[in-house]
Amino acid sequence: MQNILVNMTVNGEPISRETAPNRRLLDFLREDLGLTSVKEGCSVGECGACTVILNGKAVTSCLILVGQAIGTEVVTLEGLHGEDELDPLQQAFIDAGAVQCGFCTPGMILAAKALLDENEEPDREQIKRSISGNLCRCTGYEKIIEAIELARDRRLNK
Amino acid sequence: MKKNVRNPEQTTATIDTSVRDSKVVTQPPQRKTVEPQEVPAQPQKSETLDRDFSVLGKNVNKKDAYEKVIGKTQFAGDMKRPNMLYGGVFRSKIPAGFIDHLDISKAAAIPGVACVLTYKDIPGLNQTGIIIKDEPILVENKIRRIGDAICLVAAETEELVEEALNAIEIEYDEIEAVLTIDRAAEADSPKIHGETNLHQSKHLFCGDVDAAFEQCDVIVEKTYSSGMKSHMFIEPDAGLAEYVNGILTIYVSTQNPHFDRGEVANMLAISHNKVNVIQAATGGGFGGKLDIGVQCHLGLLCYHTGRPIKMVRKREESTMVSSKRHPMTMHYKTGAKKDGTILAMKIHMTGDTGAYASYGPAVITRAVVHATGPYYVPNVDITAEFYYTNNPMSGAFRGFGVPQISIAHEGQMNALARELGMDPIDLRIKNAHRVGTILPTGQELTESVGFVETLEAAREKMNELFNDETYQPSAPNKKRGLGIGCMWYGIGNTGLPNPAGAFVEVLGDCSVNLLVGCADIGQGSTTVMAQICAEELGLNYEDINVTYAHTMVTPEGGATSASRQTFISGKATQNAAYMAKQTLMEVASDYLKVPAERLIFRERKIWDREDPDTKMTYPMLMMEMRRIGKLALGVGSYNPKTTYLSPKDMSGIPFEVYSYATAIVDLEVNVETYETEVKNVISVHDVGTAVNPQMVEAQIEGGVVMGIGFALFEDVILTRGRIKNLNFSDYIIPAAMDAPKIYPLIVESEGEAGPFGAKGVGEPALIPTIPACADAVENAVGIHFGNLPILYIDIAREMNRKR
Ligand code: FES
Ligand code: FES
Repeated sequence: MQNILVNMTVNGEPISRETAPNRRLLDFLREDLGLTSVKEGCSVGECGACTVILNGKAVTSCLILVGQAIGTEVVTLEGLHGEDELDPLQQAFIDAGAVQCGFCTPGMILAAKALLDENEEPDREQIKRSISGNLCRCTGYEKIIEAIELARDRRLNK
Repeated sequence: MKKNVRNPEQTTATIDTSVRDSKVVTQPPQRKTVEPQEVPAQPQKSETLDRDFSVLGKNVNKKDAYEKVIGKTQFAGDMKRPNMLYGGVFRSKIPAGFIDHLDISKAAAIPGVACVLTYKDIPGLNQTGIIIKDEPILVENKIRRIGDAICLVAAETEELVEEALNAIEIEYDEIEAVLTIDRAAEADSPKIHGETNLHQSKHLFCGDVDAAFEQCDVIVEKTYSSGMKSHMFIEPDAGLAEYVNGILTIYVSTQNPHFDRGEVANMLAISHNKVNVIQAATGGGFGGKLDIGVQCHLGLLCYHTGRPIKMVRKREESTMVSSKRHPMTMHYKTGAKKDGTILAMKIHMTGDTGAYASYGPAVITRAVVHATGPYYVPNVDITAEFYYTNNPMSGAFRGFGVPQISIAHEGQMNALARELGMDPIDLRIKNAHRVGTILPTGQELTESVGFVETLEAAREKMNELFNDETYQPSAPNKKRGLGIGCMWYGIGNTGLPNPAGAFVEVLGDCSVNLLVGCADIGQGSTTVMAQICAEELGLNYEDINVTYAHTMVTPEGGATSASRQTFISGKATQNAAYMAKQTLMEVASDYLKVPAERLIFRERKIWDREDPDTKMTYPMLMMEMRRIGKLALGVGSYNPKTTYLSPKDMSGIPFEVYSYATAIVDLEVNVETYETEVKNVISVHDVGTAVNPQMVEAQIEGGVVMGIGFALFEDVILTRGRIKNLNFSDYIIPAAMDAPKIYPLIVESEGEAGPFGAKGVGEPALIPTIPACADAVENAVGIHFGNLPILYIDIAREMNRKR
């Protein structure tokens, strides 16, 4: 199998790497780039642990071959916060107590980020829908929804 | 948050009405119980101000939250080492039989394959199991389930591991698989272990049930059942092993690191201190990461190759071989007087423990001890049998059998309320456990029984949210119902010693190193331990650094199971902190010229409670400590005050304290699609003292949603011992759209046993929602469902039958 050259922007940095063409975007991010916040929970697109933002949309990276992502812009949890400031969603997840085991957390925050970037003022139902592809076995979702509401309000300076 | 501090006088005053007018038993049963086990001298109660806490009861940020939200937390699957191998397991594809022929030579010859191992490569004990060591680490000859581990492979890449697994050749001699407990019980069925398939049987009795039933005005008799469930933690099992300075070091997703250490060491026939198990961040457990998963396989591969090695299970493999919730059938006969006083219960339950014991003995014992529910029942006869089969291994799953039996004891209470035309909450209050209640085991409840308060708080919230006029279905094709469920839950292992320990050192700058064995699987024990330690020492939460679940460094913590860590490791932490504080108190006492018992330690200050101006800061105290050459060190342990249960009638003290809870579920059933939708859940929990109320709420909310999954959609589908729904695509767990509005309420009952009166909530959080869902469905559509889960097809079938 011949390697392919992958060019894409990851967390704002241009990347150019050779990799095996059968690699999923998930493997490329985790194994080739060491971005291990991207988790693998099911490998079949059902749990949302591998969620990343690709060209502004939340996608499950276990269902995307790396070749399909050439030329795109990808954001993982590592790319969300600045030097010493957290993204409002990251801070809100801490404050609302929305983190338990933390395995779903990267995907949850990214799904919520894609939502808030597209819709500044989602209501509870829209928030629930936006994370309905992200399974969490620990929290019962309540504090995750509260965290997203909190981040929404803080972003709007409410 | 709502806090109800119970009024002990009021509740004890009402206790006896439920018993005294009964003719059958006029006195609570007198049972001889064994004395509690000897407990080493514990430090005295601390000198903190009574319930006026400076750190406890505060919603401090979880210690692990920051790393988790920035994506830095290392789960075992995220770890990498230079020169690292990957490991995989060759597993049986049949449920029962013998290995006729096994050929690993082709697999071993593949370039890049480091080794292929069989049971012959195990230098020590080829047996594992938390209670009964009946599971081989690698099968020698006999296969007992689909997924039994037969060979191990280590290779340079994951692809090569797959290739090697595919190159292993095997032929089986298949035999009849025992797939039901009825078949297991038959004399001529194949025996899975030893001479009988009966795994365990139990008999708990007190009073005289037959005579008592004669005295009853109403008798309710029903059968209930609960199917097999899968934990579906989001992180599949994973681990990495390597040698560090000659010590076999295993980083692993686990709830039970100290147990893991012993199992690995015994397998290799090396001393326990030559193995270091370090808990990696663990992506949920719920009981499914208590058994040995990858630990022994990693240890054996690392031992033979000398190289770092990682194993990450695929979701399907993880679901196939990790333990499952015991399927159980429960037959209940409950008798009561016209006024609702319960006189007798006769109960028979059976369970399928699958191919290996795992936590089966704990599940059956706990289920039997809790079978009456949180009600005083003077005449009780409970029998239980669990059988081995060739089905997947049943084991620990959040609640150890209590979620299953709660379906039955609550189903009975609701049926009884209907039969008597009584309000279901009034009926429960009439029979509720209170301080002074004697349990069927003979134990007397002496403190921290907040059950009635949970019922009253639930009723108050229900009346606030719903009233008769506005409580209507949201659409004409829907029916709506409210349901109630309650539970009680003993904290810690049932009638067994289960100690935990802690080490504390207060450093010169007033920061603290706290070492605890307790594994944090996301529920937040690390944060809880830090809060308890800070409160006891009079320091701030931020001063405490916690090292946990690292067997070379931390003392025994026991398993993170049985809702025991806040209570037991928390008490050990408090004891260790108190020991360090005793030195600090002596030094401060000399310095301030105040008797030690008058000193208050709080928020980094020390003062005389009778003269607050006589005071010093913590940094001054630590300076004084240094000047006179003293160290502030503490060692603590705690073992709950329980007794072994009598083999004859199970009398004794199974637990030192119990948590209580009540849930109200509001749901709708669509009468065209038969789908259910849970809209609101009130879940009230008596947790003793809430160390961190936000985290208690988080446990309750997570439990409520898992309870909805349990009651209304989760079910493992088996065909010939094979799980058909191994992944989230067909084993459906609740998603955000399924989550109702949840009202978590906290009741704080008073007690001395736990650290500052804290009990536990991890498993209780799940339980009451389950029977409450069943009751709500019944109230919505007027049909009783005793078999859970209640799927839309069940509702469709029963409604069509009724039409
Ligand atoms: S791992 Fe991609 S959705 Fe589960
Ligand atoms: S926090 Fe554990 S899966 Fe969401």
